[in-house]
Amino acid sequence: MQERVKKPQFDVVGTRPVRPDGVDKVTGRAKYGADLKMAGQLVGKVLRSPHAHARIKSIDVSKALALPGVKAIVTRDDFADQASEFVPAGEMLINYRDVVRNILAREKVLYEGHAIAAVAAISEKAAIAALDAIKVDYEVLPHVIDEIEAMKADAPLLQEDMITQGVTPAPTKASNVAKRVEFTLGDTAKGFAEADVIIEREFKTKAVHQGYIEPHACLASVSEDGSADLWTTTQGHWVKRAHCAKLLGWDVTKIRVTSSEIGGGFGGKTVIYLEPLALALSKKAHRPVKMVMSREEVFKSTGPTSGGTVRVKMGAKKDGRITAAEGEIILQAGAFQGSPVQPACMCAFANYDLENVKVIGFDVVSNRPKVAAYRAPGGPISTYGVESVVDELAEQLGIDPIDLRLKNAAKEGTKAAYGPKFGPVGLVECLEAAKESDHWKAPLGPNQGRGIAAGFWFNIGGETTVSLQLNEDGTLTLMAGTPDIGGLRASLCMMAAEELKVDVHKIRPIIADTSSLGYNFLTGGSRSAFSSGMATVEAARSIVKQACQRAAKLWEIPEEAVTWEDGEVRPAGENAGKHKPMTLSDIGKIAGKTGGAIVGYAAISAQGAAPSFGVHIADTEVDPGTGKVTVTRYTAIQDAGRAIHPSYVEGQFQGGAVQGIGWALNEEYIYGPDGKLQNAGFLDYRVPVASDLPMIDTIIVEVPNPRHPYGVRGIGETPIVPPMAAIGASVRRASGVRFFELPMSPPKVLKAMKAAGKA
Amino acid sequence: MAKHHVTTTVNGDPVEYLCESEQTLLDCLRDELDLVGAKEGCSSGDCGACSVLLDGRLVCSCLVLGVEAEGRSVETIEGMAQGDELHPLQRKFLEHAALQCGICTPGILVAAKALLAKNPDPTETQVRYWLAGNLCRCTGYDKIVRAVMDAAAEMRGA
Amino acid sequence: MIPFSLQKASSVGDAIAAARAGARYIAGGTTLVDLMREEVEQPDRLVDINALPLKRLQADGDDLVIGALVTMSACAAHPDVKRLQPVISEALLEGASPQLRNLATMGGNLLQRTRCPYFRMLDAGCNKRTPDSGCSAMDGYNGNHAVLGTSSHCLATHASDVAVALVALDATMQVLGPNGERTFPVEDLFRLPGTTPHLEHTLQPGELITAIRVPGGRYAPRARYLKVRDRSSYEFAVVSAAALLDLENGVIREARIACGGVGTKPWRMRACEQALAGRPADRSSFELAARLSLAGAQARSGNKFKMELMPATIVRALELARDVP
Repeated sequence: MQERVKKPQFDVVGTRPVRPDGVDKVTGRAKYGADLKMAGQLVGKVLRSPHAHARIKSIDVSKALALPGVKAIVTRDDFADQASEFVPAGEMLINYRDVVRNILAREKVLYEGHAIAAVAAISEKAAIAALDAIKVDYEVLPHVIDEIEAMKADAPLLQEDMITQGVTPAPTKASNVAKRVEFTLGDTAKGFAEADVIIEREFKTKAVHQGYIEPHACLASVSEDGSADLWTTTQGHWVKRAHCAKLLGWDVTKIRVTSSEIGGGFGGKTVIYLEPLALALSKKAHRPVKMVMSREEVFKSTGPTSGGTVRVKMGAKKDGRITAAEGEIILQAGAFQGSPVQPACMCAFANYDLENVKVIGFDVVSNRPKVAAYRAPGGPISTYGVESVVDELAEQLGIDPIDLRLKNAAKEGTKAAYGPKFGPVGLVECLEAAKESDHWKAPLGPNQGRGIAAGFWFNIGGETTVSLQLNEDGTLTLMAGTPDIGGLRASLCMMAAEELKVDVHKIRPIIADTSSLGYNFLTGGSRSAFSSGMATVEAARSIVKQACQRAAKLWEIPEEAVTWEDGEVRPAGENAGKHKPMTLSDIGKIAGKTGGAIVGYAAISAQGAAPSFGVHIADTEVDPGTGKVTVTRYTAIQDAGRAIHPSYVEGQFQGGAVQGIGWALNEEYIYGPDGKLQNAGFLDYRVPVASDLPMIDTIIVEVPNPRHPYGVRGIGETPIVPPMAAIGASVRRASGVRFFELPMSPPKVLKAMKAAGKA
Repeated sequence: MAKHHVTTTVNGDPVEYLCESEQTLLDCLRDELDLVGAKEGCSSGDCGACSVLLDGRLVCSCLVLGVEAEGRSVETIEGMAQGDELHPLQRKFLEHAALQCGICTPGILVAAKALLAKNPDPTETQVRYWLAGNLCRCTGYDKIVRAVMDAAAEMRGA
Repeated sequence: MIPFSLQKASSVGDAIAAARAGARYIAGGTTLVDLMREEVEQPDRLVDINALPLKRLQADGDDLVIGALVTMSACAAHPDVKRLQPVISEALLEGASPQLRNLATMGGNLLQRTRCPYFRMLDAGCNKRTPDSGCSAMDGYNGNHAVLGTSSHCLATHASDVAVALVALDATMQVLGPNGERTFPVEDLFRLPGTTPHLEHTLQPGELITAIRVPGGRYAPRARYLKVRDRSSYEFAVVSAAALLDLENGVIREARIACGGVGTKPWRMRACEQALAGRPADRSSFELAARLSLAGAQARSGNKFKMELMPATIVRALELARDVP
């Protein structure tokens, strides 16, 4: 593979060591959510709604409880109601009033698959028999699936008391519109008046699932004194602990949560589903309870991200300068409010340095599972619309799509419509790298086209704790608390090794449980390498400081007379006396007798997360006979700030790009007229397989983030933002037809090409 | 119904287990033999995470009944390394960073091993079509395909 | 999965006796185990036929005789299949995944159940699964459903790829049952749904497929199977076509065409075949003939595109067959 990263000026950062958790993962030894077993464990199962919308008149569990082998059942009656209270979860907010209703339905079931009751029994068979014996009396209600339908005045209401927020004066009548948001900058009317070309389009995208291969799973064990152990596959075990404690009314300290290895999350494992049920069942049954979702449950009851409607209007001068941009973004929230409409609006025009912007968003509930974060939540949806319109502007103006973007690109000092002024950012560098790439210059074959699109994600920091222990032989143990999904432990060890000038393989990392380390916000918002990296560096520097103190003590000289250079503690100059420099290994050996163990500890709220921009180039070939779109070449270019472990940075680019390709071409939630999901399995919900794809080339651009010790920017989310528009632009050139609706599956492409006389 | 007594070979070792007729081979490996390297991603043969070799042939263990393993030979991810020596595919997956979350990795390694046993010199297209029954949601397959091709080259002595 | 009893048959006679007594045959299990797990199929007795001596695949002159228990992968890789009827290999390799092809047998492949989503959704109406429960696809999601051979009771397609090639090849099948052996065209195995979509095939109770015979012919080299689908592999056909051409100096002596993904059974396109006889093997002949595939076709809301895609696929498959070097 071509080495695309500049030779780093570091010893460890920028190299590609084997990850510390690698061997366990290639030998089958690594333990995921469903892989742990406890003596005496019961099987937990969930009864789910067959209806898209119904009032629950009664739930009778008496027959089920009387069945042999059934040890406990929980329903809405086992959880106290919660007041409306929003708390952060990743880049999105959740409301406990809704969470308690989502884990187990209360007044109504709001989507097919909505949990109603959970049972714990001695076997799967006994648990299923118990589910069958629970009697639920429903009053079936009319349902609504589509977000535009749901906004209509006569649509079935999901929450009878929901008054749209963000509208003045406040509406007097309840609706399915939870919230209206708006960002404005300048005066768009004035901007459109100055434009030579104005394009206005409407786009539709479908709900898609995160599609992690590991279903949700957990194992809970609650003792008679209320101490609970919870093993779960999660992106944030402190966050899950908080949610569980809140819903169960337990003290936080009573719940110790261990995060298993996590088999993919992409945002979808920031949410609690099974955990409070397993804890409540275990408390009732006095035995451990293990719960594992089926794939059908994963599709029907967890995730997905919103589908939506995006209207975009942009105007530009003949020279390509964009004078005004407006967007209206309507996103499905699922059954409870809280779609990623806010970040969708933030991302919409963030690629560009614009004077006049107006973005309005609506958060709309309908009878679908409550959406969960999915990689750059909301960003891909709004960006698909905006970047498609930018591509059309370039076409109408006869300007190269890269040049048009370069002319308008956001850069240091650009004020984003959603508020902040950008620091150093790498969009221009990414566009230039695209322009210079072999891919952009390569010839195309018949029926092939090339498209390009840019994408943005703001990234977050937040509460993070890391502990780094110097062992008595000079090796180190690193405890972090942000679950490692794609190589985090490797990059944290590398940053520690860089600081401490030790062999990276002398540091053993673990993801600590919630009782072993201070609070950590979840792995999400592309924050873990940034925030835990920052904390790791702080912890490592603390080790250095302590090492110098111990040497000073040993040498009986003042601390200021000791210095840290090239991985050694040395006397600082002649006056400090003649002392043999000590390595960390030497210091580790004397730690015990110079004051006890040496532990570096950093508990921070990481600030200074910097946005990451990316640019993707897609080539597609469209079969005019069948409408089949094949991706023939693909390049993902992105500003990583600094790539700690370039392989895992490339991996994020590639994985995000392919999820975006699936979103563009194949993936969609399909509902029947009965409001039920028609494709709740991997055969009918079509994620890309290996044979669908070419190699995904990557170019890592490095414009360091000045607020991180190594310049790291979060990079996990941006890669899913540009693909849909890049593929759309490419299909436009390959087929002559522009599409405004995803997925661009063969029937739709064929139909559009026929209509345009291109097939 | 009475349980079935199954005698079979797993990773070269003779093993016995009791299972009900409706337990799949995957259930038996995970629940009866505590071999949890094969993963359950869908239980319908669509994701490949449960891939094992049955008499040397690659199968989804979620579609094989536990009783059907009687008298046969099963190889799982747990049998792939020889002592401290990782299989070349395992080594190449680590070198190429061909895994992120790792949940699909056991199934993909077993599938790739089956491919190289019958085709030591596969083209990229052959690797991609062979692995079409193994879903990976993290990597976009790029590094997986490279790792398989590189392992094949090493095993051929190329 | 509902508990069931399982016995292993050590002879064909054993197996048939068990089936006569109400047991269901299980071979590769790729359809049956999956459907049993979803409780779409709920047999209380299974007879495992994997040990029966039906795994031979041999050439008989130019004919191929394929044992019913030959796996899809073994059949696809067999040198005689590749030599005599490469289109069978092509169709097999276009179906399922390596894992499934290693388990699934040729006999089982022909008897696989439909992929209509409602067939698997236990609380949805499906006349095929539960007679007289209605057809949810009629006014529900029917984007991937049949346009040929449908009835007001069922729109489900037959999912096999290789069956399409076998029907085009005029293959026959041998079955053994309580009343002895019989042989009939593969095409006659499949029933149209009519008012009884739950009856999918013409096998009598207890009858066991023992072998498939593929007659040799003039077509062998100029035969191709083209499958159009959303993903490039591991995916059922949206539309597929097997096209076989016997050419002389660029003129078609005889053509055979069958399609998948469009019919309630693998669909032989005889009108297209007749229209091609004696015509030059060029695009205009192909297009003219392909149009005839639409005779009697009826689309619902979601699958109208198949009215375009089916003739386009036939044309493309014919071109591929013609251009075989």
